[in-house]
Amino acid sequence: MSLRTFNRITTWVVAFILNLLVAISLYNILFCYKFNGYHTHYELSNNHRWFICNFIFGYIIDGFFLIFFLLVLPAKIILLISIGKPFDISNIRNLNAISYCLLSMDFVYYAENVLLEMVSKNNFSFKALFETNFKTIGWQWYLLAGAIVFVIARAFKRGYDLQKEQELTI
Amino acid sequence: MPIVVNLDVMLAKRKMSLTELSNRVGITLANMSILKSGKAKAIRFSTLEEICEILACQPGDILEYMDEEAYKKLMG
Repeated sequence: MSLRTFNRITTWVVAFILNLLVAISLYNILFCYKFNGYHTHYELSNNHRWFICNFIFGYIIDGFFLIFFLLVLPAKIILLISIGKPFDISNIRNLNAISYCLLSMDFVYYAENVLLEMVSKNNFSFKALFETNFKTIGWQWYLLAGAIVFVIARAFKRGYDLQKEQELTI
Repeated sequence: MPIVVNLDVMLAKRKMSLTELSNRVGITLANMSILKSGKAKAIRFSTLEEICEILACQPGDILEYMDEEAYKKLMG
Protein backbone atom coordinates (compact mmCIF):
# COMPACT_ATOMS: atom_id res chain seq x y z
CA MET A 1 0.00 0.00 0.00
CA SER A 2 1.42 3.37 -0.96
CA LEU A 3 1.79 6.20 1.52
CA ARG A 4 -0.79 8.25 -0.32
CA THR A 5 -3.43 5.51 -0.08
CA PHE A 6 -2.60 4.97 3.58
CA ASN A 7 -2.98 8.72 4.27
CA ARG A 8 -6.30 8.79 2.46
CA ILE A 9 -7.68 5.80 4.36
CA THR A 10 -6.48 7.21 7.71
CA THR A 11 -8.07 10.55 6.92
CA TRP A 12 -11.42 8.95 6.13
CA VAL A 13 -11.35 6.79 9.25
CA VAL A 14 -10.59 9.84 11.44
CA ALA A 15 -13.30 11.85 9.67
CA PHE A 16 -15.79 9.03 10.21
CA ILE A 17 -15.00 8.79 13.94
CA LEU A 18 -15.22 12.58 14.32
CA ASN A 19 -18.55 12.67 12.51
CA LEU A 20 -19.85 9.89 14.72
CA LEU A 21 -18.82 11.81 17.83
CA VAL A 22 -20.47 14.99 16.58
CA ALA A 23 -23.61 13.08 15.65
CA ILE A 24 -23.80 11.67 19.20
CA SER A 25 -23.30 15.15 20.66
CA LEU A 26 -25.98 16.62 18.41
CA TYR A 27 -28.35 13.81 19.35
CA ASN A 28 -27.74 14.64 23.00
CA ILE A 29 -28.46 18.31 22.41
CA LEU A 30 -31.59 17.72 20.38
CA PHE A 31 -33.21 14.91 22.33
CA CYS A 32 -31.78 14.93 25.82
CA TYR A 33 -31.41 18.74 26.12
CA LYS A 34 -28.03 18.45 27.80
CA PHE A 35 -25.54 15.72 28.44
CA ASN A 36 -24.28 16.95 31.79
CA GLY A 37 -27.41 15.87 33.54
CA TYR A 38 -28.93 18.93 35.14
CA HIS A 39 -32.22 18.53 33.29
CA THR A 40 -33.03 15.71 35.67
CA HIS A 41 -33.09 18.09 38.63
CA TYR A 42 -35.97 20.27 37.54
CA GLU A 43 -39.53 19.93 36.34
CA LEU A 44 -39.69 20.65 32.64
CA SER A 45 -43.37 21.37 32.06
CA ASN A 46 -44.19 24.13 34.53
CA ASN A 47 -41.11 26.26 34.27
CA HIS A 48 -41.16 28.25 31.06
CA ARG A 49 -38.27 30.47 32.02
CA TRP A 50 -36.09 27.48 32.62
CA PHE A 51 -37.17 26.05 29.30
CA ILE A 52 -36.37 29.25 27.41
CA CYS A 53 -33.02 29.61 29.15
CA ASN A 54 -32.22 25.98 28.46
CA PHE A 55 -33.24 26.46 24.85
CA ILE A 56 -30.92 29.43 24.44
CA PHE A 57 -27.97 27.73 26.12
CA GLY A 58 -28.60 24.20 24.95
CA TYR A 59 -29.43 24.87 21.34
CA ILE A 60 -27.81 28.12 20.36
CA ILE A 61 -24.66 28.53 22.43
CA ASP A 62 -23.71 24.89 22.92
CA GLY A 63 -24.86 24.08 19.41
CA PHE A 64 -22.55 26.75 18.06
CA PHE A 65 -19.69 25.52 20.25
CA LEU A 66 -20.09 21.91 19.19
CA ILE A 67 -20.82 22.47 15.51
CA PHE A 68 -18.13 25.08 14.98
CA PHE A 69 -15.33 23.74 17.15
CA LEU A 70 -15.95 20.01 16.87
CA LEU A 71 -17.20 19.79 13.27
CA VAL A 72 -16.22 22.78 11.11
CA LEU A 73 -12.67 23.29 12.39
CA PRO A 74 -11.69 19.59 12.45
CA ALA A 75 -13.18 19.23 8.97
CA LYS A 76 -10.99 22.12 7.76
CA ILE A 77 -7.92 20.55 9.38
CA ILE A 78 -8.62 17.14 7.85
CA LEU A 79 -9.19 18.73 4.44
CA LEU A 80 -5.83 20.54 4.57
CA ILE A 81 -4.03 17.40 5.76
CA SER A 82 -5.59 15.31 3.00
CA ILE A 83 -4.48 17.72 0.27
CA GLY A 84 -0.92 17.50 1.59
CA LYS A 85 -0.63 20.73 3.57
CA PRO A 86 -0.52 19.58 7.19
CA PHE A 87 1.68 22.40 8.44
CA ASP A 88 -0.46 25.26 7.17
CA ILE A 89 -0.76 28.32 9.41
CA SER A 90 -4.57 28.05 9.42
CA ASN A 91 -4.26 24.49 10.79
CA ILE A 92 -2.32 25.84 13.75
CA ARG A 93 -4.85 28.62 14.34
CA ASN A 94 -7.75 26.14 14.18
CA LEU A 95 -6.07 23.71 16.55
CA ASN A 96 -5.37 26.56 18.97
CA ALA A 97 -9.01 27.65 18.74
CA ILE A 98 -10.21 24.10 19.48
CA SER A 99 -7.89 23.80 22.47
CA TYR A 100 -8.97 27.16 23.92
CA CYS A 101 -12.60 26.18 23.36
CA LEU A 102 -12.15 22.88 25.20
CA LEU A 103 -10.22 24.55 28.02
CA SER A 104 -12.90 27.20 28.47
CA MET A 105 -15.80 24.71 28.19
CA ASP A 106 -15.80 24.12 31.97
CA PHE A 107 -16.34 27.78 32.72
CA VAL A 108 -19.04 28.09 30.08
CA TYR A 109 -20.93 25.12 31.52
CA TYR A 110 -20.43 26.36 35.05
CA ALA A 111 -21.83 29.78 34.10
CA GLU A 112 -24.75 28.10 32.37
CA ASN A 113 -25.51 25.97 35.40
CA VAL A 114 -25.36 29.00 37.70
CA LEU A 115 -27.74 30.93 35.45
CA LEU A 116 -30.10 27.98 35.19
CA GLU A 117 -30.06 27.58 38.96
CA MET A 118 -30.97 31.28 39.31
CA VAL A 119 -33.66 31.17 36.65
CA SER A 120 -35.29 27.95 37.74
CA LYS A 121 -35.56 29.00 41.38
CA ASN A 122 -36.32 32.61 40.47
CA ASN A 123 -33.64 33.60 42.93
CA PHE A 124 -31.00 35.93 41.54
CA SER A 125 -28.52 35.85 44.39
CA PHE A 126 -24.91 34.86 44.84
CA LYS A 127 -26.09 31.79 46.71
CA ALA A 128 -26.61 30.12 43.35
CA LEU A 129 -22.88 30.26 42.75
CA PHE A 130 -22.29 27.82 45.58
CA GLU A 131 -25.39 25.71 45.10
CA THR A 132 -24.43 24.80 41.56
CA ASN A 133 -23.04 21.34 41.34
CA PHE A 134 -19.73 21.57 39.56
CA LYS A 135 -19.26 17.83 39.61
CA THR A 136 -21.96 17.19 37.01
CA ILE A 137 -19.92 18.90 34.33
CA GLY A 138 -17.16 16.31 33.98
CA TRP A 139 -14.54 19.03 33.97
CA GLN A 140 -11.46 16.79 33.94
CA TRP A 141 -12.18 15.40 30.46
CA TYR A 142 -12.49 18.80 28.85
CA LEU A 143 -9.25 19.92 30.49
CA LEU A 144 -7.47 16.75 29.39
CA ALA A 145 -8.77 17.02 25.82
CA GLY A 146 -7.90 20.73 25.70
CA ALA A 147 -4.38 20.05 26.95
CA ILE A 148 -3.83 17.28 24.38
CA VAL A 149 -5.05 19.46 21.50
CA PHE A 150 -2.89 22.32 22.77
CA VAL A 151 0.20 20.08 22.71
CA ILE A 152 -0.69 18.93 19.17
CA ALA A 153 -1.03 22.57 18.13
CA ARG A 154 2.47 23.28 19.54
CA ALA A 155 3.85 20.32 17.58
CA PHE A 156 2.23 21.62 14.39
CA LYS A 157 3.72 25.06 15.05
CA ARG A 158 7.19 23.51 15.28
CA GLY A 159 6.51 21.62 12.05
CA TYR A 160 5.42 24.87 10.39
CA ASP A 161 8.63 26.63 11.48
CA LEU A 162 10.80 23.76 10.23
CA GLN A 163 8.95 23.63 6.91
CA LYS A 164 9.37 27.36 6.38
CA GLU A 165 13.07 27.12 7.11
CA GLN A 166 13.37 24.19 4.71
CA GLU A 167 11.53 26.11 1.97
CA LEU A 168 13.89 29.09 2.32
CA THR A 169 17.02 26.95 2.13
CA ILE A 170 18.43 27.26 -1.36
CA MET B 1 20.03 38.65 9.41
CA PRO B 2 23.12 40.79 8.80
CA ILE B 3 24.52 38.57 6.05
CA VAL B 4 24.30 40.26 2.67
CA VAL B 5 24.24 38.32 -0.60
CA ASN B 6 26.24 40.15 -3.27
CA LEU B 7 25.20 37.86 -6.06
CA ASP B 8 24.02 40.74 -8.28
CA VAL B 9 27.48 42.37 -8.09
CA MET B 10 29.21 39.15 -9.16
CA LEU B 11 26.66 38.62 -11.93
CA ALA B 12 27.33 42.13 -13.24
CA LYS B 13 31.09 41.55 -13.12
CA ARG B 14 30.75 38.31 -15.09
CA LYS B 15 28.11 39.84 -17.39
CA MET B 16 25.76 36.96 -16.71
CA SER B 17 21.99 37.02 -16.23
CA LEU B 18 20.20 35.46 -13.30
CA THR B 19 18.28 33.19 -15.66
CA GLU B 20 21.46 31.85 -17.19
CA LEU B 21 22.99 31.25 -13.76
CA SER B 22 19.89 29.46 -12.53
CA ASN B 23 19.85 27.26 -15.63
CA ARG B 24 23.50 26.34 -15.23
CA VAL B 25 23.28 25.72 -11.48
CA GLY B 26 20.09 23.70 -11.94
CA ILE B 27 17.83 25.47 -9.45
CA THR B 28 14.69 27.37 -10.28
CA LEU B 29 14.68 31.06 -11.09
CA ALA B 30 12.28 31.67 -8.20
CA ASN B 31 14.72 30.15 -5.71
CA MET B 32 17.59 32.07 -7.24
CA SER B 33 15.58 35.31 -6.85
CA ILE B 34 14.98 34.46 -3.18
CA LEU B 35 18.74 34.04 -2.76
CA LYS B 36 19.55 37.26 -4.62
CA SER B 37 17.01 39.37 -2.75
CA GLY B 38 18.36 38.19 0.63
CA LYS B 39 15.16 36.44 1.72
CA ALA B 40 16.86 33.05 1.95
CA LYS B 41 17.43 31.64 5.43
CA ALA B 42 20.21 29.22 4.49
CA ILE B 43 22.27 28.05 1.54
CA ARG B 44 23.45 24.50 0.92
CA PHE B 45 27.19 23.95 0.44
CA SER B 46 26.43 22.13 -2.81
CA THR B 47 24.57 25.17 -4.21
CA LEU B 48 27.32 27.53 -3.06
CA GLU B 49 29.93 25.28 -4.63
CA GLU B 50 28.18 25.31 -8.00
CA ILE B 51 27.63 29.06 -7.96
CA CYS B 52 31.31 29.66 -7.10
CA GLU B 53 32.38 27.27 -9.83
CA ILE B 54 30.26 28.92 -12.51
CA LEU B 55 31.08 32.50 -11.50
CA ALA B 56 34.74 31.60 -10.82
CA CYS B 57 34.81 33.32 -7.45
CA GLN B 58 35.14 32.64 -3.73
CA PRO B 59 32.21 32.30 -1.27
CA GLY B 60 33.41 35.55 0.33
CA ASP B 61 32.75 37.35 -2.94
CA ILE B 62 29.08 36.40 -2.75
CA LEU B 63 28.44 36.53 0.99
CA GLU B 64 29.34 39.42 3.27
CA TYR B 65 28.87 40.03 6.97
CA MET B 66 27.68 43.46 8.12
CA ASP B 67 26.95 44.73 11.62
CA GLU B 68 23.32 45.37 12.51
CA GLU B 69 23.39 49.16 12.00
CA ALA B 70 25.05 49.03 8.58
CA TYR B 71 22.65 46.29 7.54
CA LYS B 72 19.62 48.35 8.64
CA LYS B 73 20.96 51.37 6.74
CA LEU B 74 21.45 49.27 3.64
CA MET B 75 18.01 47.68 3.82
CA GLY B 76 16.26 50.89 4.81
